[in-house]
Amino acid sequence: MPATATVTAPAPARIEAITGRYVHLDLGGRAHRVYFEEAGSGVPLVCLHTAGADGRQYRHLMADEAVTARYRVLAFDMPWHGKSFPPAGWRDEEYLLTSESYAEMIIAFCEGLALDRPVVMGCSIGGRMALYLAIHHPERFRAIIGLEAADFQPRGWYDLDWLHQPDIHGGEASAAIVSGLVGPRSPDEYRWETLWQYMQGGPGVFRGDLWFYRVDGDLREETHRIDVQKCPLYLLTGEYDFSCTPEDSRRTAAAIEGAEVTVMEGLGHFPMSEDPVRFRRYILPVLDEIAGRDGPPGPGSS
Amino acid sequence: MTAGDAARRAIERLPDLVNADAGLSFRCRAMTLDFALASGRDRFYLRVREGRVEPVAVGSQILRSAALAFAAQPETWLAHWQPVPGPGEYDLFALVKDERMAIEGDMRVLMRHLQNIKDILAAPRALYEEA
Repeated sequence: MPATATVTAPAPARIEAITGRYVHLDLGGRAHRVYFEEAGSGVPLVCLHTAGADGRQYRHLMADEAVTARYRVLAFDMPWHGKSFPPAGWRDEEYLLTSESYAEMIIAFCEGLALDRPVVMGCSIGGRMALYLAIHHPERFRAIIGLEAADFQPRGWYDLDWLHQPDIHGGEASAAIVSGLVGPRSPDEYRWETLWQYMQGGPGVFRGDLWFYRVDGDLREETHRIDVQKCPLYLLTGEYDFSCTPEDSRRTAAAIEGAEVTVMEGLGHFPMSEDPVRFRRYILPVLDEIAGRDGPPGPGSS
Repeated sequence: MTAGDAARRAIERLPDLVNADAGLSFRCRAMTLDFALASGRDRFYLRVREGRVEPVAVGSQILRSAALAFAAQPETWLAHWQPVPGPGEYDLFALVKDERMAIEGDMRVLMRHLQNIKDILAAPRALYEEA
């Protein structure tokens, strides 16, 4: 009589709650297929990634039930980044991000998904854009959060053309340039996960993003117009960020009536991805406060 | 011990520290490069061959070439090598931005090997982590 083997069904693998889809948007008169991920329900929270990276930087926030219980967290990969292709014809053009094109994609994304006055949170170039949105489109957002945000970036402490050369690996060079912007105590796993995204960046894309950061996005003459009564503004900057230093953010806040800066101890330029545990200590109180302003989400929340 | 003495000792130990780090040696396996360090008035020359660092040549070397040179005060090098460096002291580019370090030479070589160069020059941090 043959022996019967007991077969134990393997435990199902853990599947995260994050889902990814594509939305078709017309940007600058050209068709774009934009990838985005989301998790949670409640107040829409649109997250903007740093230059040369993609929406994966917010994966920890999307996995945090303290956030997703009250917020629908969304992060899209900007065109040319992550899983969003460049527009057709990209091969023969120079990618240069501008204030207008950046703002247009955020507004188109929010309108395309019919988000009702979302909170927007951006880091680095996204932080600069957060300030731009606070200046130009405060009525569209219920709150704005700028991470590593400053009104301008001094030009020229390194030549951006090194980021796109035929005989230098642009991804590895980009990652190496920003590697020291990660705080020294950030966990090794997340440091290198953050840098991997830079290594994966398309040719010339980080350089093109920094066109906005260094050249086109100088807001020094405009930040005084921000009205934090119209749209609350939160600024948080990592202690170890030498690209947007705490002093840069303080200078920015000084021009905005009622604005303050929280310096995040130990963190660098990529708080949400380099050390998510340390970051949540700083971001949860902000999200609590914003949620508290609006009360609990109603049944019709987007 | 003065800061200059401490920095000199650390730089002289740099080859052993790199060569004993299997991960760093692996990452640098395609790197062959000569570079110079200055700590105050002290000069050092390092030769990397396929990821292995040869013993440091100390002092000015007649007609010795170097693709790159990194110059800082000994106090700056020592600050960079602390187990948890302060803000602005953790990265070569942060030091350059603050004008506490000068990098001269062939920038194309620097950009080809930037992360490995950063990691090699940070290797003496292990001395202070041990302490």
